Amino acid sequence: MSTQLSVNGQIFDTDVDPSTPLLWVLREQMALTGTKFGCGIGACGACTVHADGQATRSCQIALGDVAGQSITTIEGLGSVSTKLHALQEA
Amino acid sequence: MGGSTAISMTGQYGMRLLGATFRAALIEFAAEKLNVPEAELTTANSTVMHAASGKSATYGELAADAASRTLQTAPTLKTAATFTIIGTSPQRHDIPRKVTGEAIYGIDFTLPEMRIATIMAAPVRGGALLSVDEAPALAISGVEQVIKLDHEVAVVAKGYWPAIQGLRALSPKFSDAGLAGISTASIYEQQETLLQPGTGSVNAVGTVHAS
Repeated sequence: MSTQLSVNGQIFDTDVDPSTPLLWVLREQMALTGTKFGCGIGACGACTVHADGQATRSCQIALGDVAGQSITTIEGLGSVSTKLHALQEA
Repeated sequence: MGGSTAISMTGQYGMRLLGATFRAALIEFAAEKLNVPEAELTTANSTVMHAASGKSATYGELAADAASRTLQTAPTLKTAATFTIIGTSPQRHDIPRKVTGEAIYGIDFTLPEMRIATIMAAPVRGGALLSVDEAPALAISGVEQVIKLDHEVAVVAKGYWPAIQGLRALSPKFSDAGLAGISTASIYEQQETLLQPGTGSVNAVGTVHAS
């Protein structure tokens, strides 16, 4: 079964098991390693991404639960060459 | 003195002193190498310069030979008016890459066909791995191998997620290394017993010489 996501503005299709945490799809399928594996229990916040604009602990949410949503990772927030997001600037 | 208080305690002076000491050694060697009087040499941007002749040498070019010199113990310190870094707030080099997610940490490093292993150790020091059924881990897609060690069990997989799942799926049995009876209460009890007069020596190390 294929799942579709929009990650940092790019459409992404994957056949990964929909029960896989979003964190590992980002890190291992998409090589977006800016999202970190920290505590693995949703406490530390190192895995935080935006899912349809909401701050979400990606280690605690399954791929299937964010199907069709728009995900923003730290790589999509802003860059030094273009413009840093206010959070990065801080 | 090291640690987090190093700079705020003695470090600011200590770092200045060290910097001045090495700078003096670099100048001393540069004077010989460039064949110019030591007093006419100045330093800036990691370079020793002789303004009159236009000769210069970088710290890097001088460092190896300068390192073999006897160092001065009371070098001339830079005056506050000539500071170029102290008193400024320079940007840290590591921050831009960290806030954009570009920085590569250990967990982010990868090689083609790399495998990931997760490991679980006996919960008690000295505990031995008695048995483990490998099947639940091997049933997970991406898990390739379960490795039994003396005191630990490990799962090797194609990625972190299957490796984590594989380890979680296992129910290894470890021995308690004979320590199952130890508790806070039993440790206090043991200490109380040993504190009684006449219980003898607990730990004999070294020799006391009468003076």
